[in-house]
Amino acid sequence: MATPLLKIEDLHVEVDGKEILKGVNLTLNAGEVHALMGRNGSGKSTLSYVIMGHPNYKVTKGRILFKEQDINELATDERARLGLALAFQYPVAIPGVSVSNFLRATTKATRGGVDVPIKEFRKELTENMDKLGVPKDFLSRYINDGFSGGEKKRLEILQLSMLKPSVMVLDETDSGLDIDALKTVSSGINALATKETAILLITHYQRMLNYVQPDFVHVFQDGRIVASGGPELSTKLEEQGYDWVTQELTIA
Amino acid sequence: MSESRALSTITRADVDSLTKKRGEPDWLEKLRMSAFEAFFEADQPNIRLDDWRKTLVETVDLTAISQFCGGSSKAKQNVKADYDKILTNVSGVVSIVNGMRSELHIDDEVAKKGVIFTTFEDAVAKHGDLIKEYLENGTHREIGKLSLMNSAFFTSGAFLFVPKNVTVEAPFVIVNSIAEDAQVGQAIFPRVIVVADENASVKVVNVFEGGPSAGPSPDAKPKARAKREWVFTSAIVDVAAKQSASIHYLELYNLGRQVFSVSRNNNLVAKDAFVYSFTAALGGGQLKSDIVTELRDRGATSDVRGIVLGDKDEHFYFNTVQNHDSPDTKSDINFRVALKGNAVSSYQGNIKVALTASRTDAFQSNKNLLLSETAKAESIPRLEILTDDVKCSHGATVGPVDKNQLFYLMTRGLSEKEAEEFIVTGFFASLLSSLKIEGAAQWIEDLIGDKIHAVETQKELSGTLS
Repeated sequence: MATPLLKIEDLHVEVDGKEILKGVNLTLNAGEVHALMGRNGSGKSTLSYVIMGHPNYKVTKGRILFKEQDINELATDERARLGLALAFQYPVAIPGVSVSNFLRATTKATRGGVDVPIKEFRKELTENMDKLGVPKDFLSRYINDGFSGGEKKRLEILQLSMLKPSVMVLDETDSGLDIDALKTVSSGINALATKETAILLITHYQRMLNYVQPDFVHVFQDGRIVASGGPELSTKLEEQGYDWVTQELTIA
Repeated sequence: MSESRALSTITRADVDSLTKKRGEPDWLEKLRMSAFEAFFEADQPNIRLDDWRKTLVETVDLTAISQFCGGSSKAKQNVKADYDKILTNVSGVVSIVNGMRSELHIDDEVAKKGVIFTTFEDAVAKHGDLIKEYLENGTHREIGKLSLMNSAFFTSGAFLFVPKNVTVEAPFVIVNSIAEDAQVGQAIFPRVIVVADENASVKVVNVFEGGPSAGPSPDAKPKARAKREWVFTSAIVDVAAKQSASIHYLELYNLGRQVFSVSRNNNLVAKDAFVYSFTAALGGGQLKSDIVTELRDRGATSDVRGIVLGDKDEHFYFNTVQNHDSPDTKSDINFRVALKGNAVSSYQGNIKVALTASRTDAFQSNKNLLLSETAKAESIPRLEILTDDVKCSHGATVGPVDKNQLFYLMTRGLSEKEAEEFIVTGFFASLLSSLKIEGAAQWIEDLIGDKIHAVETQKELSGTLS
């Protein structure tokens, strides 16, 4: 079998001395889409931050391997340049920095520090913008500054489509989207899911999974994955809520 | 005047011989003398004074500043070509290196319109009537001891005069540089006067650059009182817009860390005139600048903008004053400061509204962004309003860089320095976009990027050595 793109082994993580992740195990292979579902506060976002190396989160045990390389000691930008990316649940605004300048710099950074010729870059960008229904005026606006919830999520997906990472974590990309936006964003995500990439969709609703079909579904609770299965698991969660998981665990 | 004499031991006779040697007219000799007397009597500034708090003024030993710079064999050549490139096209260049004229150009077409753009020596000889009143202002005691030094001893500078109804689109560039062969203990005293006559319009770029950057370790916090070796500069700049005239003025400080720079900027705004003044402070051991805007007559308007990017042990002190002396005057000040390393900034802003200045509209804002835990910024806004029926407001903030912004940018593959550069240029963006000189905003942005990345280069370098 091929090398997994991302392998998380018995990951324990603390924030301000409090343990949030309590032994996460997860393997993402190329060509796979995984959904990670769980209640608010179960530690899903923490996992996404830790994968990207947020300085506030301390790994106390376990490892994160990217193509068999332990990335624990790598800074956030180094992980990004290896091919990891995160679409934020709440993308921050950077006033005064235009989307076009930012995209140009980040595209260069993630493609080995080489400038993509400006014509080529524009062409690629325009194509991706059209696919995601992103209006031209996005480019001259400041990053996420005054953006609506839906605009922010589109910009996140637009960035991923330019950066072409191999492992993508999408943190509640579906939240705050109306049905039309959800469809467009989902088709953007589907375009990102190729034979060479792996996607981890973090969500607590089934809604998005109607448009982006996961190969695997994991239930996250109290800092670890407590159940894994196929797409049928998300349907069960949607119909019966999370309580049955808790009950099964209590019985076990 | 003997070149090796300490400034603190200079006498009237020395000033007299300076002016004789230069063949200056009597009126100038009188002005120098009166400035010298005021300088002599003025107290040495110290950090207990409001004007000098949080500065390194006590590290200056006037007895150690013993010579005037006198030209340089290492003067940069063909400065005009550089600025033609940076600013697309310029109307003229005066380049002064170590206090001596190095280059002078004025576009023929512009000169034909009666525009005067020349060195200060030339202006004294030929245009005394046009510059006298501004030089007189420089003898007033309230400008302080270190600025009075300029009025007594200035030897170089530039003069720009744009006649009535003349508009010049391409900017004039004045470069006051300290060459690499300048020694600590040397001093320069640039004097710049820009006058736009009635209904004239002009753009000016005034640059202070160069000087050594050695000295104390960049990571060490400077001692506020221990004497240090400085290249010293004291400048006075007058920007005068006559009735209905408009001046767009950009001033850049890109000085070495061993330069102690004092400057006094007077913006003189007549009836219905407009002065836009932008200061970009991107380097200097200690920069102190007083920017005083006099809204003298009805309908006078001014916009004052400032950006400061400090690093290592650099100190900045900016004092802006908006003097509203007449009704229906308007002023808007916006200063933004970003600091790294152990840099220190102090900003004071004062809106003064005279009894007669009803319907004044004045605004003042100062924001400070701290990029390190050891950088320090203070902001002291003040209002002195003597009349009713005014619209005045001010605001100040000091805060650290948003860690979430840094993380966000780094998740896109940008290094910490690149991310910082984006945050800092973003912080300055709204001010830079108000610059109306072609190429200027990009130029300043590039310099900001250079400054942020220079740190990296130095660290790598010391890493290799050790």
